[in-house]
Parts: sequence; C-alpha cells; structure tokens
Amino acid sequence: MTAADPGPTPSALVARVAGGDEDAFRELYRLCAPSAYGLALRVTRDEHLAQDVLQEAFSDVWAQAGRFDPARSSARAWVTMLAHRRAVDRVRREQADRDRTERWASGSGERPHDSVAEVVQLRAEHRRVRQAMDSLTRLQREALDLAFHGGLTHTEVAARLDIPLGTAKTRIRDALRALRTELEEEL
Amino acid sequence: MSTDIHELVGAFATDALDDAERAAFGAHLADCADCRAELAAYREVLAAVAGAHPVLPPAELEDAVVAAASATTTAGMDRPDEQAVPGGGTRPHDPSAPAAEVLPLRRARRAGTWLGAAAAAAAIFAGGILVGRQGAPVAPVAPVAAGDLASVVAVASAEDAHFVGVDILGTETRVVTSDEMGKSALLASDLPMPAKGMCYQVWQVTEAGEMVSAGAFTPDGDGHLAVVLEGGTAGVAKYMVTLEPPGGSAHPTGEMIAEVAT
Repeated sequence: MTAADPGPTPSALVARVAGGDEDAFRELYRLCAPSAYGLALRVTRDEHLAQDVLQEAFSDVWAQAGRFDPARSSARAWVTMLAHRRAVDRVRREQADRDRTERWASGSGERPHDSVAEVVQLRAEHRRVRQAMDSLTRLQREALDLAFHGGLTHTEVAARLDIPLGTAKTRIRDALRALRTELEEEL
Repeated sequence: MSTDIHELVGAFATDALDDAERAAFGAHLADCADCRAELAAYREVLAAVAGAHPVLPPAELEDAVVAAASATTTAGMDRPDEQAVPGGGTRPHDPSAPAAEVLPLRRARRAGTWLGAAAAAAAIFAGGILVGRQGAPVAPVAPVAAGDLASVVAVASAEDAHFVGVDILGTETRVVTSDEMGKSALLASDLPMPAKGMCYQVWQVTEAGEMVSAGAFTPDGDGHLAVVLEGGTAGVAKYMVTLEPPGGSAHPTGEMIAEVAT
C-alpha cells in the first residue's frame, strides 16, 4: 500500500468482515490492534493478559461484525469499546490482584513495557489528544483515568478518591465532556 | 439523589457501572436520544484517547488472532449484542463464555515467533511432504494442510515442550519435542529453498546409530516451514538433516547439513 492509497476505511473493513472476509479481518487487525493493545496494556498492566484481551476482543469483532452500525459509531470506537470491555472484564475477574491498582496508583505502571512492545511512532493527532488530556483538571483526569484505564467501577473510584459517588459520576462525565470539546475538530 | 440517570453516561462509556446500573442505564438509553448522542460522542473521545498510546502487539499474535477468530465462529453470527441497545450498550454476556474458543496463548507463547512462522507456514505451505519410515520407499503424501498447524501448535504448547536450535544453511530453525506426546516438530522461517527441486530430509538417529527418516520437506516461497516430524521421540539421540533429491531418500544420500542432539 502506498501513501497515496490510504486503503479501505475501518468501517468498510468491518462490513467485509461481517461477510466472513478473512483478509479484511487481518487488515482491520493491523489498523486497530495497536490502539487496542495499548489500551489493554494500560488497563491490565500485564503483557500476557493484554495479549489474551486483544485476542478475545478481536474474536468479538469477528463474531459481532454483522451488528456494527457505521451510522452509530466509527469502527475504531467500536473496536475500542470491545477491547475495553474485555480488558475490564479480565481485570475484574482477577480482582484478587490488588497489586495492580496499587501499582497503577503509585504510577509505576504508567508506561507499559517498552522493551517488548515497540511503541508506534507518535503522530500529530496523538499529541493533540495528549494535549487535550492535559487540559483536564487534575481531579477530572484522575477520575477518568481510574475508571477508563484503572478498570474501576465508579463506586470504587469514589472510594479511592474519597469523594461521594455522585461526585465521581460527575467528574467522569465532565472529563469526557471537556475532552469532547477539546477534540471537537478532530472527531 | 442529586444525580439523575443521565449523569451515568460517563461511567457507562468507561465501563464503570455495576451490572444493575448498567442494565438500568441501558433501558434508559432506549428512550433517551440525548444520552445516545452523548454516549456516541464519548465513545469517539475514548477511542481517540486509546489511540494516542498505541503499542504494536507481538507479531506472532496476528496469526493466532486470525486463526482463533475465523476457525471457531462464523463471522457476524454471534449472539445478540449491545448494538441491539441503542447507543451500543450492554457488556459481553458471560465473560467466562467467550464468543470464540481461543488458542491457549499463554502456553503457545512459549514457542514465541516460531509459532508465528508455524501459522504462516501452515496457512500458505505449498510444498509436498514425503514420508518414509523404516527405510521403506517413500511415497508422496498431500501437502501440509492448514489443519496441520493444530498439530504443530499442540506439540509446541505441550507442558513439557522443549526447543533446540538447529542451524540449517545459516538459518536458525527449531526442533520442538514433547516426550509426553511422543512427537516433535520442525519450525523455520527464512529457510532457503533447496536448489533444483531438492528437499530437506530429517533423520532420527537412534542411540544405536540407526537412521530413520522423519520426513522430507521444502519450505514455502517465504521460507516458512512448520511440520510435525514422523516417528516418536523415544530412543532418539539426535536429528540430522540432509539434502535429498525430490521425494526424499530411503537412506541418507546427500550432504549432511545439520545435526542436533535432542
């Protein structure tokens, strides 16, 4: 594929996957796996778990492709959603692993293992998203991170931050709302 | 309650609700166009957030993912899912009953990239295999079918699987052996195609020095080779590889190009 040929869009690929097109599935994987894997790593803090999550998520992609509605969301958002659910399911099932949240809270897990996972070259849009994250208040970012990357329920977010449940809900929503505003032009 | 149900949209988007709340909010979504629109926007935001920290998964995962997904379920034929709920709302059903049976990655991973080579080779292997046991004249058999991947993976992911490296013409290949299964397999990537239709033939050498063919092979056009070797593993002291004419030989005739103790 050349630079002049961006190839099929993820949405078009999902439609082909729904028809059982394995080549399309492979191409969709190549397009979306780095995001999904990066997310799975951040949530699970474990390469092996993240790889299992990625595989489960793409099994879901394959199985549920027929129900993807491009009018409702982008394919990337859909794949991200599936991957996040699998990641969260996985860490909640391994709830005994308290160390995970401890590590997360202490920040030591902030970056997944770069040694084994080659980090994709950052592009301008990634920087833009990171800037948007930086524009959140510390309280907003904390709540969103605990929920989205920490895999905590909002009840657990509230307990961890020692704030009322209603406040936790509001902070998560406010964070998303602020990001939406910041990113309005790119999304 | 100071927060109404709309307030749950953020926690819903981040999978931060418990089961009861999720069900309640899912029902609410069906009636609330505002929440559906807000949820859709947040999903795009979260995809962008996830996309800002991409990490390339290990290369061998791709084949495992494709094999696991396509081998076990028909695309798009899965159970009813969240897209039945406006806004794309419920969780996967029972997480302990995933949509597709997945390869036991944790174990298969021990084989590392060699399994990637195995998967690739099994998927596109085009050469023929010739099998000759007990010195009998070899007879051509069908090329390795994709199904053989399962056998190679089975050997490579056995609890007692152990790998030994073998240098074949400058290419590092691996022999993986499971005594428990009584099987061994040969895995290679970037293996040069032998000249003039010659093939690689693997020989088991017993402790008594007897040589028994474990099969004759050629890699595919990309140099991938992943095959389960013929014969058991008991009493095998080492493996030798020779270059043999097309079809392989009853006894080694060609140059010995590799040798490895088990």
